[in-house]
Formats: sequence, structure tokens, C-alpha cells
Amino acid sequence: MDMETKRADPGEHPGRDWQGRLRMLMSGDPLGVRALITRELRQRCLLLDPERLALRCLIRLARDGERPGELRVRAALEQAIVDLVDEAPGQGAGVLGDLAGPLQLAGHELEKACHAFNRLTLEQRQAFHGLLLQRTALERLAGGSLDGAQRLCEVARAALQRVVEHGGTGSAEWARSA
Amino acid sequence: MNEPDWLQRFLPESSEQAQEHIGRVLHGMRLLALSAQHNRSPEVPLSWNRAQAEMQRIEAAALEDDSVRRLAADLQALLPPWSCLRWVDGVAASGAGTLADLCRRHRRSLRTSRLWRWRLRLVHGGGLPRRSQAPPPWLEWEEGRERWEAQLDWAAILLQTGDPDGARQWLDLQAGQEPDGAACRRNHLLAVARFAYPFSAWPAAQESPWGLPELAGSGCTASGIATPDIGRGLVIEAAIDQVRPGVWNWQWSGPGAAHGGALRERLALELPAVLAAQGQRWISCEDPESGIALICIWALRNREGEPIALHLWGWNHRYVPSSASFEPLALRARLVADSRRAAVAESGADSAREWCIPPAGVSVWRWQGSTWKRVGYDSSVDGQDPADGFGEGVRTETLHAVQISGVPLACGSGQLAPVPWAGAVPWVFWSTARRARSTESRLRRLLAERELRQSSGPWCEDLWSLPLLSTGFVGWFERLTVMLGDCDDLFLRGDVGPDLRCLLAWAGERAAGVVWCLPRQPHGEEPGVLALERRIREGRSVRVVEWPGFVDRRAELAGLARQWATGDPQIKELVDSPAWDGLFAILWRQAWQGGVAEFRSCLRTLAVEQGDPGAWANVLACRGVAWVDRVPSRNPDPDLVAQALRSSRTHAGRWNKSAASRLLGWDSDTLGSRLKELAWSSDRDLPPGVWHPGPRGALPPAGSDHVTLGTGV
Repeated sequence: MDMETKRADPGEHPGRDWQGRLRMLMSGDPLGVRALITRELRQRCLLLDPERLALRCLIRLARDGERPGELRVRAALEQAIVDLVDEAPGQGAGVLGDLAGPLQLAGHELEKACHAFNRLTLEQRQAFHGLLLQRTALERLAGGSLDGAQRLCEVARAALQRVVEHGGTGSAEWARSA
Repeated sequence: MNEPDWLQRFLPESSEQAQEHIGRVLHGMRLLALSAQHNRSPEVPLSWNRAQAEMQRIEAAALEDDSVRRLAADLQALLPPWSCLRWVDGVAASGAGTLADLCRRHRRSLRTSRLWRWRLRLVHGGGLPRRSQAPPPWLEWEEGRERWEAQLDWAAILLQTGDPDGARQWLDLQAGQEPDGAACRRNHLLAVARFAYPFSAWPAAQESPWGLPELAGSGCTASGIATPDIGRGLVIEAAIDQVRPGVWNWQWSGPGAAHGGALRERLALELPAVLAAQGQRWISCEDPESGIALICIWALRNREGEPIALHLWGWNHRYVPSSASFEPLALRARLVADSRRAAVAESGADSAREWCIPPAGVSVWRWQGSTWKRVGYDSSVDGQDPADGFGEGVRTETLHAVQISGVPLACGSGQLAPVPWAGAVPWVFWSTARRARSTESRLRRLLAERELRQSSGPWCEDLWSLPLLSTGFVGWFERLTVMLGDCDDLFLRGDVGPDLRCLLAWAGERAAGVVWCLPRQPHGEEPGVLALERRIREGRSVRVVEWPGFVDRRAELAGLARQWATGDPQIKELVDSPAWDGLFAILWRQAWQGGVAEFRSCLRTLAVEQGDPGAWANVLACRGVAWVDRVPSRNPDPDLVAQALRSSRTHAGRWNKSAASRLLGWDSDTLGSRLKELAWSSDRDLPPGVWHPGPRGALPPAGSDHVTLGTGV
């Protein structure tokens, strides 16, 4: 049985060890995990390394060894998200390091900022994401409501301050030096 | 408005240089968000090297998590609560940052103790929070966490940092924002809050703020734990007036240890039903510092209908990590008999503080045979230490009752014996605890002997004499352990009685897992259902197993009858009579849709009536039991035949054809021909039944009564 055949039916584990299953799941995206990750990250406004998230999810699925149905995939992804959000920031390797370099930032600085962002409440993340990351117009985000706009600004400001304060030594130093 | 404008607006005091740096960070975050959007293409391969690095991270985290869990468990097992507090505080003082990180990373394992969680969060929060502050995000961001749990935590933090008014105001504010169940939660939060505050300084105070100095600092010498739970109970009692009467407030968001969880599950499921049936008003709380669950029950009212006595039960689940957790360490009625307070109580005072003061004349009654007898502890005459409750002598009784001034307060009943007076609370825990303990030792012995006895035939018959258990429980228990080995939690769906539930909790402990019970038809916010939902949400491995109904567990009938015969002379006479075999065959054939209760009720009626087989049919018909004269011999249910064969098994392990045919209402030839039709030549060919799962460790076969409804998610 060649790899392509296996890829066609991810539920059939040919009695290999879990690393074999992991290789199979990593080959292409037979379970649609990466599309699911994109959707989940967007819905929850989380800034996580998508590759790490996918790997962690697939590792969990491969270790389970059961037929990975949709519910199981979702549960594994949920757990992977919780794990990564919980995890203390590291050295900013991987995608984060790749992104930070051209910006003259250290990888760990960006990772700490993302870590602090992910620990905000959903409301704060949404406001932060909309105003500061996506640069959506305030009027559009607030739906034309003055109160809503004011509230949105307050939430986004609180979120930014928290990201600056807790988002790594560099940022904190900058904030203090201000 | 572009980004620099936003930064200028949000961080007006920061320098241009700082804003530029922050802008770069924001740009990096923006790129990361964009990269996630482009991650969906499967054409971009995932790196195997990165996968290996991820594996190493997972392994390291698991090791660390395990070590923290062990450390927490060790500490909690070794140290009394206040020492644990000091230890945590000491560590916090030496390296708060490290500890906070530890707490954050391992919040799931540390959540096993409210003590740890609160203390560590205090450390993590830093400084003294005030009412003006919103709860820190780390209280709320946790996925899957109830909002009100975070509120409660925040209230506790405010309390512990000396701002009880702030806590109360904050809770009021939050309760107003709760769309559903606001009043209930608010009351509960208030009760907990008001309970927590006065106790924070309790150990240092030699005199209780409630005017009961002799209760302060008194220890539970019997259990070897010096926890002033009496005082706490009184403090709780003082908070009761804030709780809406009749509201079922149960809050167990704290420890998640296996045995504690199972125990709380048990308490949470049973107490409401029992107390609601009795029309009792009550509240339960958990001591956040010691982990002692305290349950207060009003059971006594004065002539005006006002409560004048408080029945307090304490339960320490953290000190009893084994099956001994069913031993109610601090479980005792704390009824202080004092003529002075009695006078206050008799005067009909209705303040919360006075409700806990019983009148003189506390007496203890025991169930002896078929009657209640007063056995001792009259506080008006003896000199027992009130702090010692009723003493060991009473606690070890299987059945007891407490009566105050001729009014029943509560009774304990392992077998739910008839309560001789209205208004008493049938209480199952004490005797159940003892029973579970004796059952455990028996099961231990049997399990130890199992290997030896396997070669000499079935050994399950030894379990006949076990109370509450059917013959095959040990076999089922083995399956349970196998299943728990594959998953974190096992959910049993079905009508699992309180005693069996207790035993299952114990079985879960033995297997280092949690056994939850789900009702056959879930309704409302039942702990088992909520736990299942949460486990699924958390992506934990769970397994739901169907628990067979009583109608499919006919093998239990004989054992139950013998068990009841030991406590009821009339049933004993019936069981010992020559007519018992015939009667039992009739009883065996009936479909006991009403479960154990129906069976027992009918058996008692039959024992009183003492008629002939013809009269038995009438008795059963009068009791509403659909009469089954004989099991239809054409196309019989193979399971029923198998159950009959098993029920006829002797100690040698062989089934008895005549006994089995008698149970079915057939003659031996009919049974023989049916066995041939079913191609069952020996008992070894019997299909797996509900109690006989087949090979050790085998999962239930498809179509059997043990239906695995789902695994994993």
C-alpha cells in the first residue's frame, strides 16, 4: 500500500506505531486540520503559530490511535489550543522567528507579545484585532454607535496596555522609558 | 485612523521611539495573523523536524505536569491545611514569579485544590486587590470555565485580602448582570463569602465571634485532624439567612481529585433528592482552606415552624485518598446542648445565630432489629464534650437517629429502612460508608484469591453474601478497570442506586479514574451530565457505558433477599421456609420494572402474608406486578435463559438444569430442547451477559447490554 492510498483513508491505520500514523497525517492534510485551524484562530482571535498548532493536534490524534472522526479532530485541536495558550513563551522559533527577523525584533519578543495577547479576554482580543491588527475603521466595528465606539476604544486600549506591559521585556522597557 | 495615530491615542505618554517599537511588534502580530490565514493549504508541507521538536516539548510538559501533581498531592496528604498555606506562602515569598508561572502552566493539576488555586492566584495577582479593580483576566480567560466560578474566585481573593465589603458589593454587582439564576448564584456566593471571611482569622481567635467560645479550635480527635469544623459550621449557619429557602445551592468547582470528585458527585446527586423529599431547607458549602465540605441541614423547627436546630455535617475528602474517603471523618451532628441556649431557642428567637442552638434533651436513637431504641447521649444529663458530638460509639452504628426534645432531627439508614416518624431525614452516608469499607476489604480478598480460584471454577458466588452486590460485580469491576485504563473518565448511564454508586466511586479510585453516573434520562444541570460535557469540551478521553437495568440483573434477586433477611425476621422466616424455592422461582420470573424498591416491597408483603403459591399471585397482582406464570418457551429470549442458567449455578460452578427450569417455569425437557436449539451444551458456551463479560478485559460485544456509546469525544 503506497502512501497515497493511505492518505485517501486516514481512518485506516495499518497497525504502525503512532509516529507512522503521524507521518501519514502530516502528509497533505487528510483530516482538514489546517483549514480548521485557520477558522478557529480567526473565530477566537488567537495569535498562535499555526504550524505548531497543526503539529500538536496531529500528534495528539496520532497518539490516540483511534479512528479520527470529526469530533475527535475538534477535541484534539481544542486541547492543542489550550496547551499552546497555556505554554510559557519560548525563544520565538519557527514562524514567529521568521516574522520577527525582518522587523528587527527578537523572536521571543514577538512571542511574548502574542502570548500576552492570547491571554486577553475574547472581547479585548476582538477589539485589539479589529482596530490595531486588521485596522478596521472604528465606525464600522462599532456599528455606528457612539457608545459602542467609546467602549471599543477603551477595551482596545486596555488590551494594548496589557500587551505592552506583559508582552516581553523589550516592550516593557519601552513602555517604562516612555 | 492609521496605526501611529492609534498608538498615540492609546499610549500618549510613550515616546516616539517606544511607539515605533510597539508598532513593529504590532506589525509582527499582524503578519502572524495573516500567516494563519494562509496556513490552510495542504500543499505547504509540515516539517518532520518541527514535529519532533514539538514531541519533545510535549514530553517535557507532561513530565513537569506530573511532578507538580505529585508534589501537590504529597503536600496535601502530608501537611495540614495551614501548614500547606504557610509552605505555599513561603515559596511565594521566595520566588513569586516562578510560582506564578508554575501555577499558570499547571492550572489544571493545581486546580485539584481550592487552597492552592486561591493562594497561588493571590500570589500571581500580586498586591492586594480592591473592589474597584476588575477581576484579572487570568481569572476569566480559561476556556470552558464558568463565569461565576471566576466571580467566586475573585470574591474569595477580595475576602482573603481583607475587603469583605468589597467582595459583597462586587458579588451584588455581578449578580445583577447574570441573566439566569442570578438570585441563586448570588445567594450562594454570598453564603460562601460570608462564610469565608470570619473564618480567616478563626484559628487565632480564642473566642468565636458568634459567642460560642468552647467550639473555637476544637479538634476532631477521633479522626486525628485538628480542624475546628464546628466553628466553621456555625459561621456557615450564620450565612444561611441570606440563602433563599429551598434553593439547591451546590458548589463544587474546586478540587478535582478522583475520589473527591466521585464523592462530591455522590453528594450532589443524592442530597437534593433526599432532602427535597423531606421538605428540608438546607445549604452546603466547602471550606476553601481546608477542603472540608460542610453541609448544614435544618431538620428541626419549633412550634411556629421556625427552625431551631441545625444539623451540621462535615466531610473531609482530602485526607482520605483511598476508599476510606467514605468514612465520614468529621461527620457528626454538632448539637450543643446547653440549657442557656435551649432557653433562647425555646423562646422562639428566629435569628440565624440562634437557629443552631438546640434545646436540651438531645438523644440518640438506634435502629435495633425492627425497633428504635434510645441508647444514650442525653446532653442534659451527661458530661460529654459537646465538641465531640456523639462520639465514636454512635458513629459506628449502622443505623442511628437523632432526636431532640421528642422531635426527630435525622436518622441514618443504610438500607433506607422505614423512618418511624415523619419529617426525619433518611440518611444514607454513615452506614454506606461502613458498608463500602467492608465491601472493599471483601473485594480485595476476593481479587487476591482470584488467580487461585480461577482454576477451580467460578468464584463469583462468594459475592452472593455481599450486600448490595450481585454475583458478577467483581468481573464487572475488572472490566471497569480495563476501561478506565483507556480513558480518564467513565460515565455510567442508568439507574445506579446510591450504594452501588458509592462502590463505583471506590472502584474508580482503585483504577485511578473517575466513575460518573448519568441518569438514564438526563435532565437539568446534573453533575454527571455537566462533567461529561466538560470532558468532551476539554477533549479528554471518556467512555459512556450503559448500566443494565434491574430487570436484566435477576442474578441479584437471591442475594438481595438474603441480605434483607438478615435484618428482617419475617423475611428471614420466609427465606428459610421450604416454600422459598418455589416462591423465589416465581419472583425471579417477574419483570421488576420498579427496580429494587418494588422487589423489596413485594417481598416484605409476601413475608407478612405467608400464603400459598396461589395467594402469592394475588399479592403480586395487588402490588401491581404483572404476573408471569412461566417464561414463554417458544422462541425464548436467550438472555433470559442464560440468566436462569447462571442463577442456578452452584458453588461448584455448574448450572443446575432442574433449578434453572424451575426459575423459567418450564420442565427439564423443555429446557434441554431449548438449550439444544441454542447450541449450548455447557455453561462455558453461554453468551456474555451483563455481569459476565466473557474473557477478562474484553470489551463488550456488539449488541450486548453494555453498549459503549462513545469513546474519546
